[in-house]
Amino acid sequence: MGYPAISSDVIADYNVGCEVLGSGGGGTPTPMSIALAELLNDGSLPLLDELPDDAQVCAVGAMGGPSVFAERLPSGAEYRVARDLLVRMGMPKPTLLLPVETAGMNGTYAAYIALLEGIPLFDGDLMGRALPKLEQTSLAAESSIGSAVLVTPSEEAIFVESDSTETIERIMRAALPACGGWGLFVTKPLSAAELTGRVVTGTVSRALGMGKALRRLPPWARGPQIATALAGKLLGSGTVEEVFRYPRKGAFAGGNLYLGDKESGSVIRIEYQNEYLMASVDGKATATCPDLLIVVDPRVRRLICPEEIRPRMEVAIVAVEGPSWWKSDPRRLERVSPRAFGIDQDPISWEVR
Amino acid sequence: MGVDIGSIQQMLNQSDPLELITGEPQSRVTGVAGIRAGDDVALLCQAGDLVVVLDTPPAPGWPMDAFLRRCGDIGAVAVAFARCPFDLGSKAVAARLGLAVLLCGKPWQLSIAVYESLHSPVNDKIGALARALVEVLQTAGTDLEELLKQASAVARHDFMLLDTQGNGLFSQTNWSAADQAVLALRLAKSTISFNAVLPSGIRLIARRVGLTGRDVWLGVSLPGDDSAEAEVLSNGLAIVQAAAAQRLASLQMLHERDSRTRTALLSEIMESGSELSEGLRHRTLAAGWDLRGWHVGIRIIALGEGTTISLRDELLMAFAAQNLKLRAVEQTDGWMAWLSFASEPTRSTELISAAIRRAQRSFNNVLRTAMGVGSLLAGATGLVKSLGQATDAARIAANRPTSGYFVHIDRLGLAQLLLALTHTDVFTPAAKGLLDPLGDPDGALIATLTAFLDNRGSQSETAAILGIHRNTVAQRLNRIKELLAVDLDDPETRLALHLACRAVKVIP
Repeated sequence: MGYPAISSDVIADYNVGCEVLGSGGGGTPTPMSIALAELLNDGSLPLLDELPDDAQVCAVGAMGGPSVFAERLPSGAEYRVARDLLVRMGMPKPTLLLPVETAGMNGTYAAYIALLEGIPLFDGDLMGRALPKLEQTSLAAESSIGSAVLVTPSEEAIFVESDSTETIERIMRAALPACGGWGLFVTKPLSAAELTGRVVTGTVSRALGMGKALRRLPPWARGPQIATALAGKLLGSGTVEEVFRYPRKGAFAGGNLYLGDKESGSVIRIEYQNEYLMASVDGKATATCPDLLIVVDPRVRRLICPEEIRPRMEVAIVAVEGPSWWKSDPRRLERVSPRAFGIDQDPISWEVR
Repeated sequence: MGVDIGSIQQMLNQSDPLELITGEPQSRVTGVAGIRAGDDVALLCQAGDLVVVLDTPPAPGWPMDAFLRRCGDIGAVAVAFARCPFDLGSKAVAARLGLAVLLCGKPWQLSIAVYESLHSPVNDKIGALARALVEVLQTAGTDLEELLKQASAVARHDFMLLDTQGNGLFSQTNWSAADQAVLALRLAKSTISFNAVLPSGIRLIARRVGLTGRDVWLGVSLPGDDSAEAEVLSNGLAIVQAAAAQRLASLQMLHERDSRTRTALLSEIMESGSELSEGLRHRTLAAGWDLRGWHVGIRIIALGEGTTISLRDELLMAFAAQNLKLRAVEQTDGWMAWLSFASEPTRSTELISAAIRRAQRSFNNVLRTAMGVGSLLAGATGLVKSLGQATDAARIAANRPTSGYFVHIDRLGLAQLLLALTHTDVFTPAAKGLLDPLGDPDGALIATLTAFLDNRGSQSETAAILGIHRNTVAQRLNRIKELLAVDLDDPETRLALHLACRAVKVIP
């Protein structure tokens, strides 16, 4: 792994890595990258790859619409409101922060909070990639996350406690419109023992590594080189022919797009729902969540998210292996496989494709 | 084997127009599988199938793509859905998999219709026969008779060309009298096609061969009770009919061209009188006319409807059946024709005349004619003279039903003489008195007697001329003998009666 800390010279790598782990979703990490870089200056943010026995860990991440987040950036005081509330309720003071997802805006936002608060960041997260629901956190896989706080950008706080993660999420999402579109989600402090086996480790390093590999590519590199850099598989390159956007259902914007591979002529269709979830080639499912799918403009290596994608765009489609944490147990896999998103398709294992 | 998508579209065109989203109309499906969208395609369908989704089609997007892929993987040829949104991506996937996609209103009906068309033995046979026939017709030459022979071999039924009476043009037909009567009645009234079971239980399917000026039918006969076979042959008939029509049309064009050449050549010969110029002789030889031998001129005047050009072959055939090689040149009202012999024929003039007579009778089935026959004369001059005689004789023949509209110039002189003798005030009442006992209000007995005597006492010729059965002639002659109390074998009695018959009839 070899990333003991995040310093300003790797922020650009981290930014790109968060985009890759976003699989098209999670919002843009860039605004919080800029904030992070300004705050870092010459300093560094320590990264811990092991949980100290006496650690009290809070997972942090924004909940709500990524576009609202980008328009109404955090003041920086949100975390402190949550921490003070938790401490006032008699809980221990957090000593370590953990991103809910090291993907999209949450990857950089969590690092920003840790740096701002002067506490280390754990090299891991609760998702290993971008996923849309609290239910799809490693913390919620086998039991409820218990309790959490939601803090609005105007520094109001809501504390929710339930033995059902789904209920916590439902209550918080219901509150979001009144909160102004997004809020900072902070779990109650958890001990190292409580977190055993409930954290996806190494995700921050992975983001840093993938970002670095992608950014070090020579200018002539295209789809095949991008795939190699990410240890992924190139599904095809070509011009987007059509993008279909489904009528919006709640918080999730779904749709699909298709393109013809320039070389083989095969038809690649990608189904998305906030994130790119499944790619099929000539009707055959080839890559599915929790593996990552990135749609990238191969000439400038810019990742394109579903809201941006338009017909006539030249793109390369690359599948990247997703976090192994979800694949280690069929019940875990079930939570993040296509059927969890209403797509009646078995997950395709990375090895057999 | 199988049925192509274009045919399926045509088949359902009225009840349920199919929309071909992608794929070729020529694609052939060899099976059909009706399934529900959730069914296991690999289990229920097989290669070559048209897969029809009977219930709700897969949702647009990846579910549709995935379904198409499953169909493509098992080698299906086409997929049909109830009308549904079908996006461009799925269209691209189908094209990529080589699948034709059909949208229809009623998938159930589609699957049943395709199933029936695939599993109907009649349809298989129709297809097989059509392909075999097309193959034969592509390689067959221009000869119509040969073409029909080859097509018959393939169809294992004889295709025949018929006139409106049901008589075969190339081959003899042997209809029963009742069948023939029905045919004569019905074919004349039919316009394009004919399909009926005749009284004898034979079914005749026929199609008119498109040709102006002449009614020709292409027919095929088969046992009357086999309607499936009839359907198969009926389709085959349509294919052969087209080929036959094309050949007949080009044949007629050739005939017309030849006919103009012949007519011009003959009039040159007629005008040149005694001596043929060198060039003219060469051209007559080129036309296959050797004018050096002996000739019998025959003038043929059409009494019925029909164009002379299109019936020339039948005329030549009627004479050929009597072992006579006729040269015939079209005239506006019939033909100028002659028989040529290299040397003076060993057959007597009488025998030749009788043969011409028989030829005329058989040709009557095609066209009723009057024929005048000239003397047997030698050389080009002889031909011109004999044709002149024949023309005179034909004019008389046209008005003489009693002689079967047939007059031979060699016998015309005697007849005219006898006639002249009978037209007197003395003889006419005597003749009437002689024939009075016949008490013959409709003239049938006098007509029979006249024809009998005119034809040298031949009962069969008499029967042919009057169009009655030979037994009827014999029976009538017996009555005549009884009523008149005469012996018809006595030459003097015969002469007297012959003259009397001439006198009482209003003669030409």
